[in-house]
Amino acid sequence: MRIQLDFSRFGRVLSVLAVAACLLPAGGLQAQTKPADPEAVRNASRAAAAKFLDRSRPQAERLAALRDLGYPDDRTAAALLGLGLDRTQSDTIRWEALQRVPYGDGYRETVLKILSDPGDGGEELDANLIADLSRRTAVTPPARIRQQIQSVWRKLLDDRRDKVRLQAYRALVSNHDSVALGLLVESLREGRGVPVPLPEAIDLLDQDGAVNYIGTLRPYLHHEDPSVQAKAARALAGDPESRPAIVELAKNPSTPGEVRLNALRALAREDDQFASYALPLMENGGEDPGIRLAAMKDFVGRMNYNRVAPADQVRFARAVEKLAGEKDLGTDESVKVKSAAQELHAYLLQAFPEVRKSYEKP
Amino acid sequence: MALIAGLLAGFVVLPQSALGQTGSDLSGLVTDQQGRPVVNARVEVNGQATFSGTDGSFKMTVLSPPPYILNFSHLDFADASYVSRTLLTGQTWRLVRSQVEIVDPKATITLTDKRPELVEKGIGGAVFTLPADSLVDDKGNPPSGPLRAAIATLDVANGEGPGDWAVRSDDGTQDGYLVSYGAVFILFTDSSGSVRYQLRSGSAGQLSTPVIPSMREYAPSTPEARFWSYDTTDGYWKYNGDSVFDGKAYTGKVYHLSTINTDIAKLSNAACLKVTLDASVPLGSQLRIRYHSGGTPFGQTPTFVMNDPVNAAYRLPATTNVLLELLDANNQVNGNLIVEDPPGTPLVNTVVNTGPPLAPGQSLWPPAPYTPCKPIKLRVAVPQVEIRINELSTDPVGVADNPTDDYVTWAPTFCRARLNPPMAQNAAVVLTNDPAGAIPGGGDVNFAAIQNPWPANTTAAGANLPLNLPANGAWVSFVIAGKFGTPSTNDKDTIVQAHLNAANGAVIGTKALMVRVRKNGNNLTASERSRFLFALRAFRNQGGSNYLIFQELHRLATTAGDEAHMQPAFFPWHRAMLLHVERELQKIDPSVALHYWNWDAAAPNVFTQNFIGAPDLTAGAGGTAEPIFAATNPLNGWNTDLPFSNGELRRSGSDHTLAPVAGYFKPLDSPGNPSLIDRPDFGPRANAATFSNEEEELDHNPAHGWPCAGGHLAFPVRSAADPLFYLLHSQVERQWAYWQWKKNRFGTIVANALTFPAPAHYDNNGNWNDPGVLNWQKGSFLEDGMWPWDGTSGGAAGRAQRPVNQAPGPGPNIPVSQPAVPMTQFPLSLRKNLWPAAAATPRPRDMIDYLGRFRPQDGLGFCYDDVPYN
Repeated sequence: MRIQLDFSRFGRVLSVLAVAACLLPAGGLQAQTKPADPEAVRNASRAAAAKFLDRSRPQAERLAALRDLGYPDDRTAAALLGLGLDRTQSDTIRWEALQRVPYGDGYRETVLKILSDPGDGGEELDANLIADLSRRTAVTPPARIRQQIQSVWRKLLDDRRDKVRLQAYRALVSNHDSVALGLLVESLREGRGVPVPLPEAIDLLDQDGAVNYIGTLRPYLHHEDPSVQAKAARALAGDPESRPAIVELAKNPSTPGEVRLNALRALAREDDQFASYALPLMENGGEDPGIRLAAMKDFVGRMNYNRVAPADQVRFARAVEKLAGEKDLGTDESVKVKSAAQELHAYLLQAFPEVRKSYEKP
Repeated sequence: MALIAGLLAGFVVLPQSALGQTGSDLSGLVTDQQGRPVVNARVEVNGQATFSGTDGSFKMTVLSPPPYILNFSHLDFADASYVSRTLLTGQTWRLVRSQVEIVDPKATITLTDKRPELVEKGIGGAVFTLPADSLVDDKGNPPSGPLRAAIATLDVANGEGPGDWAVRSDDGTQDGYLVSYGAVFILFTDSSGSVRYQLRSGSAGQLSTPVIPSMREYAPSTPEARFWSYDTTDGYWKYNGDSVFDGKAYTGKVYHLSTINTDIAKLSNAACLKVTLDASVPLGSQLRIRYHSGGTPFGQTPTFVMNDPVNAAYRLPATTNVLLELLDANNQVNGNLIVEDPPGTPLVNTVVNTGPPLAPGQSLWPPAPYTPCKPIKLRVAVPQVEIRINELSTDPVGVADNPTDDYVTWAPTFCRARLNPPMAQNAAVVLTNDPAGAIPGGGDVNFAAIQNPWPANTTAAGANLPLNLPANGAWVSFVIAGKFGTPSTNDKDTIVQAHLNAANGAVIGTKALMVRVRKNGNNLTASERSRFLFALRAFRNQGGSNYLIFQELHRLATTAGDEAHMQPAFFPWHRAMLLHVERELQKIDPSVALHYWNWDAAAPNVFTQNFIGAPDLTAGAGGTAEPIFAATNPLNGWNTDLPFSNGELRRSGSDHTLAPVAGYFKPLDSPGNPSLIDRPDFGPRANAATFSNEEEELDHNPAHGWPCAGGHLAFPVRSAADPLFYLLHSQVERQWAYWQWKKNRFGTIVANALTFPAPAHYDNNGNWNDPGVLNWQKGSFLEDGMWPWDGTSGGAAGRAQRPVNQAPGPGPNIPVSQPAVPMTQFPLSLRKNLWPAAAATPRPRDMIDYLGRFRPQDGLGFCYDDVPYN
């Protein structure tokens, strides 16, 4: 299997950026965009609110009105909360209403009320509300409120709806919630009943610090699902016992690309011997271009924040230089690798004195 | 090439092309010796005439060929004249005011020049006596009534006196020059000045002309001299009688009234100088030639306008040492003249020998290229201006310039300038920015004269600044400030220029500096972004004070006894932390500032692979993943040194390149929308509807979660592990700065100018009455020293868990969880004249007036691109 180049993902991101930029109103990037007439803005906002809150209008019309809603005043915010609670409204309308309510007691109480009622709100709405509440309360709220939120989220850990359950685990694990973590660990150890997709479960433990769950995670390094194996490789690179296997996964051309890429990324951060296999991978013209590119990027990432022997830095720079000067093989991927190598070589000369020095020598 | 024109002293001339067959323009300005316009002066050239206007200016087209005899006359002034082969435009002609009285021509007339300026100059006044009935008009008619009589003793030693001292032998066959001992102008007219009267044929007046001071030592050896009258029709002096030296003056009869000179005619031994100008000498400058020593002494000071790069000065005594003076447009001597004699060999002074006489029969006015004349070259030692940024005139003279503090904000910055090396005379300079567009993206500054003390709430606002720099090289202070709207984009891309004399004068000094401001990260240039990222990388990797220490500092501050969040110290504490970090980054690269992420709009250029990282959308909303960095981004491989995700950065998988949904963030200042700026007060915390509370809860807190739910930034204990933390908190700072600007809240004491919480919050007597903060922490009062710079630990606030004086980490890969916080004072500002002048413990008070509006030296040295000073 050939590795999908990172560029494809980059391309998607760039496309999103481009679209986002195009969607911005003129002057939207200005720090202080000042409409000429505040009263006109207020009027437009009021009209938009009235339209959106008008339950008799078609949903599409109501949603379109949101464009002019602006930051809601207290009255509008209260109305939006009311709309969010209204079970007669579609989840889409309720979600759009609630996410526009400024954070405060009213918002929090409303969201928790909806989440607490198993009969209220569909999967998308509840999942969105968990994520939204999570990010809005990112900076630790007072203990009383934190406990209130925590207790609601915990009740959702065994929710039958996948998305809701997943968001509940994400929200709680990011807060080091012992209940959520305990359930994850227990199910992973048993190898069954894992409440969230396996890759996600492994990643959640990694987020919380894989060092605390080494024994639980190790078996998954040999999982048949590449997505699981990839997450395990990423999480376990810091484990000296697992590392040799991860290195082999990275080096082996028959390893699924997703696993190799994640293995390389994690090893670059953790393995002092990274140069010994990353450089040959990069220098190997027969290697998958995506792997060569990843090895290159991960190696320089390692150089950025780790001590890399000057000889390895120079060898890397020479290898990048060689890659930059390689004959064009004619494929899009090889062109991309070559182009990336050219840019990277310039960066190496700029960023690393040892590399620079090596080129200054006669 | 044009000729040098001999002219009256004080005339400033700009060259004009030589007359063509169709005529050429002559223009200029007529003034008195004080520079006041002379109205209605008659200006005549070779028979054509015009009059000066109300502003003293005149203009005419001259049709006759050269040479030109340009004559000026006015009822109240002595006649003036100069001879030239070229016409000049833009010249100022300074006339000598006469002493005027009404006389009866039918009686004996005695005129005694008693003008006060003669006393000041040490010149005696001429005396003229005329028998009754001696005057007639040009038709031979005697006057019918009283006449106006004008007399003016001329200061020939300083250039007064008409013409170029040309004389002919009595038989008209030889040209020569005069050696003057003194001169006087005498004129009789009717009351209107329109009819001039001359001596009746056969009549004579008795004239006594005092010897000018410079010739007094030579007069005794010249007991007899002739009187000469100036002929305005041909520019030559004509014989007008004989005189005898009586010990003080030359006295004798004169037969014609005009400007009368007591002179010795020299019909041989005339020399001339071929004067080549270096580019440093402006064309149109005047060269004044004074007798100095040896050779033939003379009292007059011939003054020449130098129209061309190569000029000639005629009718000089041969083999005579003369002192050369270069006059500027204001008739002031330029003390920086350097004379090369011969060209290429500078003299130690400006005295040259006029050289051998012209050969017998040789014209005394040899045409270009003036080969018979002695060659010399003139140049001006251009003064060099040294400019220092961030220095006071009172700073030590010998202190070396510190290029690392040439960084300014919108706030006033003290500077100084001097002539270096010292020059012979003061220099008038004008400070300006370099021309617009000279450096793409370059910054600009405004200027102001120094004031001591500098007035509060005032910054520099002038487009330029004239300075008079003393010749001795003494420093002169001035003030600059970044010009709002035109900050720098690159290091030292702002150029201050010192121009000689005027804003468009020659550039004689420059200084490169940077208008360094915190900018919207979405609008940064690639270079600004790159410098910022490289500095972060270096800061993360360096030993000693480094990124990880501040990451740890923030973690510890949020643990036991958190005074940094949900407390009055939220703003000042973070301002101190960011300032500390920014200054550390600036030690690495002084062109770096802590730019901000403005969440009031989409920031697609912030969340990119080439800047702070693009979101990995594969993680999905609610999920987390390592942000995507370009391979060439210095943040690629960023290691948080935390046990979570093996040190990877983590951010949410939502697309945070898009604009946040309205309602998520409360806008700072969005007219028509509820905004943070609507909140009039800073505190107290019990009142939720204050700026400080709303900013923290409705902007700061959601900002931590918006791009990073589940990621490091979302948790106070590890948020500073993500470099995005600094862009986020720079925005918090900006919001406070903006609010301060809008509300004019920079003071700390005066209630009306109070920017920090209401007085009760910062009553240093402990009169705390805010029920919203029951467990207030240190830093809640204006004078509280803030942790960790206060060096404290433990205490009631529960800081016992915070380590004290831990050794800094070893550099890259500081062991995980090693608490390494520099519990030392805030280091002194490396940029002078900013807070703190010495290592200090920051108090909330110190963080408020970040622009130093009450005292520039209390400023913190940062500002925001869209938050002005005024």
